[in-house]
Amino acid sequence: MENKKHNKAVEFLQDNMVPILFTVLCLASIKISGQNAGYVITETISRVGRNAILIVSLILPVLCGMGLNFSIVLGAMAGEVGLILITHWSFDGLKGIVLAAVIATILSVILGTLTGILFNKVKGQEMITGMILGFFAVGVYDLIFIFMVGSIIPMVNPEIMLNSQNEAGETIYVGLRNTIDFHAETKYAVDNAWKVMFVKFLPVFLACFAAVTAVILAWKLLKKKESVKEACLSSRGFIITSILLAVLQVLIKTVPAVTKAFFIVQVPVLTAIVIAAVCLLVVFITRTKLGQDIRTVGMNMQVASAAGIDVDRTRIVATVLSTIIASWGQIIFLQNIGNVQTFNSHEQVGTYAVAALLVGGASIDKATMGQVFTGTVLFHILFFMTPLAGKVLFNDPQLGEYFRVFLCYGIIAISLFLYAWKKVVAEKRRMQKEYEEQLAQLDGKQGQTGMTI
Amino acid sequence: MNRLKQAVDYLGVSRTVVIGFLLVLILSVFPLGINPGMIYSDCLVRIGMNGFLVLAMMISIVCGAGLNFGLPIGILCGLFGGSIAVQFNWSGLAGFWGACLVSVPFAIAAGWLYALLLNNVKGSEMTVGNYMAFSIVSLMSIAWLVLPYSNPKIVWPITGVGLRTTMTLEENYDKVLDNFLKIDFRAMGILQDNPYWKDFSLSTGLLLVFAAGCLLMWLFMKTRAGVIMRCSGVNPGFSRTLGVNNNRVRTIGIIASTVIAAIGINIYSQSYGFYQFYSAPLMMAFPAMAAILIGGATPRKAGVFNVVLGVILFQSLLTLATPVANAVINAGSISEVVRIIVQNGIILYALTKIRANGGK
Repeated sequence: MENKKHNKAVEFLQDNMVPILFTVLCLASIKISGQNAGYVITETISRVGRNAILIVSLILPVLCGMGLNFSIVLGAMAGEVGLILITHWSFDGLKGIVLAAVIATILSVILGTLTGILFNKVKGQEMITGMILGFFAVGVYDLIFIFMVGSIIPMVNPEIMLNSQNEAGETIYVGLRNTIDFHAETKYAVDNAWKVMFVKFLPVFLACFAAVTAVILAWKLLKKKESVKEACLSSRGFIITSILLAVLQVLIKTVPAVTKAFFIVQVPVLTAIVIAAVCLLVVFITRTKLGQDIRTVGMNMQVASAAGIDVDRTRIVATVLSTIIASWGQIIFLQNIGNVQTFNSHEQVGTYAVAALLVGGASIDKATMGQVFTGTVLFHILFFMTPLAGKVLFNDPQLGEYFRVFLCYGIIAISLFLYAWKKVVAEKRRMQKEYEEQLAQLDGKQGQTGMTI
Repeated sequence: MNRLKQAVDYLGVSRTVVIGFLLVLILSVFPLGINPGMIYSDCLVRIGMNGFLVLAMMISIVCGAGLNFGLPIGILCGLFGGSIAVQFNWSGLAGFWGACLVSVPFAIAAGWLYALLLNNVKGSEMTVGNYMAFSIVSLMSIAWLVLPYSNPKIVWPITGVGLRTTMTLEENYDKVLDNFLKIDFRAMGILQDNPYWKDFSLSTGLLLVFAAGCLLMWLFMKTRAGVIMRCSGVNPGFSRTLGVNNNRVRTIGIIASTVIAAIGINIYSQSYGFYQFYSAPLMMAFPAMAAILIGGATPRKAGVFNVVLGVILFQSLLTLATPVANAVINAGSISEVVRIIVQNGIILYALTKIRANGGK
């Protein structure tokens, strides 16, 4: 009995190796850097708020068996185009953001469809293709916004464009500035729409979350007639989160140090609602017929095709959805930053999002919402803590900077390696088994012929 | 006419178009008033600089490992050898070859490990290799900072630790190959009254080294080992039935690719005049890849001819595009943007030509 328990513990550790390792790293770098808890929490909440949607956008392609979608860079660009246009038109505030999202969605549908068609031509190599496609798209984006805007595309706006003199001595505007500041009403429009102190927000959130958990449990117990144990197990994510929130609430009420740490923290409620809505949308999609198709295609394309699913179309739809969500994610990200680095903001979007998802414990063919949020929190704590820790340890923030880049690429490389290796080993085992079966058949036949002779 | 048709068939239509475009660029230099002697010399230097990196890409394709996205690993070994050479103030031709020699053992070790990795992930070599190379580049960024370099010429001036981002080779072996047997019209006084050709120069040494590299590679492909490697790369299943150990062939090919890349970056840097550390090697595989693909190679098949043609076409296009574009439309850095689009466009196009499970 004890042995079995021990095995289970080891299994748990093995399954969650990456998140556990990164939790340790995070705690160590927080400890080393010596920053106070309030700063860490504020920074974490703001970073999770602005990055979560970008990472959620990766889930559908993973389920569809296309691996990690590095081409969300295209979605990010669509989002940027939307924001640049509303700045150009001075269509500010929340309604501007909504318009930007609409523009971004339309662009994303087009770009996502093209990406999906390309991915269908390179089945099995989607990840590297997505990465190169990202580079390619950066080139095209630069071509449009450095050279074509103002010269071929008619647009004049001294506020966001570079001016120069032509031969006749007239001032002409060609190309966008490197940094485009959003107008005051657009900056932080979603974040500042409804801000609440964390200490006030938590009880309400806890109550809502507990209620949702209770409803789900009740539904499972009464409607689906599952046993108590089964129901608890299948919705363990909700239960664990509720318990953690409750513990936090108690701690804030009782321990002064924790109260102090959380006292200044504010929660952008509207951003939280947008994130929750996007998550629900993705969960909802996975429950529909389309979601079932996506999963089937992800498991085995031949089987899906035999079952009458249009494999190519399903893959394109998954890519389009991923691109759309990424474009919204980039809009939320940039309104939180307050400006857009016209030619750099999208560069590392794919890499960071993928690394964050993997840190949460996802793999190339499996990703859940829980992993998204674990990964976002861990990755981004590490992301802003390592330079600070590097500064304390080695008196050189640069070292921490390189360390975080290394972690980022390293985690991607190792996940990709493990996945590919597992696939090769499984293939080898299958071949070996087939070979042995054939041998056994042969033996059987020889035995029979021997008998007759 | 028949001959012409044969040539077009041999090269393929798209390559003929590229060659035609290049010819237009080459000739357009004269009416646009760009100094042809200077620009043609630049083209030749660029071809010699990048040639070895493209050769490294070729042998990786021939041995069946596909496009070598792990080229930065070899480049890092070369940079490491180079940094040792500069640390001890080696100079001249001997210093340069010393740097290459020092990098070779590291390249062999790294190449062997990299081959071990790739042999375990058949079918996903490109993705895994790419991110493995990226992570090793960033790991080496930390190494450049903490390794005990002490030569004041190469460490950061104030702190005294860690390599600088770029390391000048002025006092070591800056352009030693370029200047070896160099034919410089201006210095030699040839054609000095001709306005077009007076600035022309030919970096004989650099091109000789590239030619020697190509010749050796071509000879190797004709040997028994070379034939086995080509066979194993094109059709691994068939080779296995012939008793070829595919994994061993791939290991040899990838080690060779890493070693050639290590020597290649030294050749590149001596001509450039600087070693570039930290994130510089990150993207260096892609131009080499684009060059060999534009030369007519596919991710499954390549030859020395593809290397030579590809590096000439790709590098000349890039070198000529900047001044010509500036003269025609006066648009600053457009050629850099066009390079990104062309380079990645070519790679994307080549990727679509690999069918699913093509590796098996």
